[in-house]
Amino acid sequence: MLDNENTDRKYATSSDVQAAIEQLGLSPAHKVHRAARVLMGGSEYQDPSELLDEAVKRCMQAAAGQPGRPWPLDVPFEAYLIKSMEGLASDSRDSWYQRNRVAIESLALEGQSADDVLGELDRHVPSVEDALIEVEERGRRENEAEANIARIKAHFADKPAVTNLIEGKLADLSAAETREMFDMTQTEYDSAHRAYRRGLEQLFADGGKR
Amino acid sequence: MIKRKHANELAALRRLALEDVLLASEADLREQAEEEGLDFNELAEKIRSSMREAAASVLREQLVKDRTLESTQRPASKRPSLERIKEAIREVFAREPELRVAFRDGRQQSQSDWESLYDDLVRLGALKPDERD
Repeated sequence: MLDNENTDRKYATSSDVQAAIEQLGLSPAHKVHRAARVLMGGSEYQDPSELLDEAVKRCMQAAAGQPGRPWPLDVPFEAYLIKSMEGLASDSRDSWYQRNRVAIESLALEGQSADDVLGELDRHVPSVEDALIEVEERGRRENEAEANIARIKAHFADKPAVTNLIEGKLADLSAAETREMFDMTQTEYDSAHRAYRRGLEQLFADGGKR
Repeated sequence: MIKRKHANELAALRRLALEDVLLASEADLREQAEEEGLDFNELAEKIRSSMREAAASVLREQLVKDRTLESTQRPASKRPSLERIKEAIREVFAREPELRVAFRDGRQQSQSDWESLYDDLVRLGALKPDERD
């Protein structure tokens, strides 16, 4: 049971979060974990539990009044966790700081941390150079995304039904439109959908690194 | 400006997989766990246990921060006797068992452990210092 002492509350307290974890059923627990497996590809998270636990921590931090990701009580806990993990993984993939940390650390003089170097960059790098770095980084992310899409397509190349599903999604078609365009029954579509998800989990089981 | 065409497409492909996760029945999930050689119930408990620990770690960090802040701002509050502290803590744990998660087992604790736990529970609002003291 959630903490119902104050039903006017919009966001969860620490007790609400702990109670929701205790009440998380077997299937929901597996679902959030599998969602983490799908989402962690290309991010800093190398293990699904690492991403899931980070979502729980951000939720608890927000509940304790610290910066975090608050859980709105009108959203089911499972859905909130998946959305939060989606945001965390996306932030991680988009983070220039995260991507360049190793390179930055190598720039540090003895006794300096990566943060010291970043602080110096902040003070001395002109904004035009910052903008160029950002453009370059965005280009790199695009190239990486393109390579990952090619990797996904290659992985399912011998499964025509899954390939149709992918093409339908890339063309922004709904499930019904995809079924109609590729003449698939609901059962064929569902089966392809399941095979796709399982294949994607396997493909990114290493965190998306080749 | 570079567009995010491929990044957006990749995000759409991830969402396609997520849709299937949300639609998956317990039978699907059990079947997949079995195929991967995983014990369904055991893995679920492991996932919950890890989440439980993640939540508790935030509470512990918060308590340490609060304790540090308090020690620099005001003198230690007056505490009741050690026996009364133990009794009050046991009452709180009986009333709110989920609080146990954030703390160590109460056996084999030193006097300072009991006093520190008492202070933490007062700070969390789980225990009122003037209840019976």
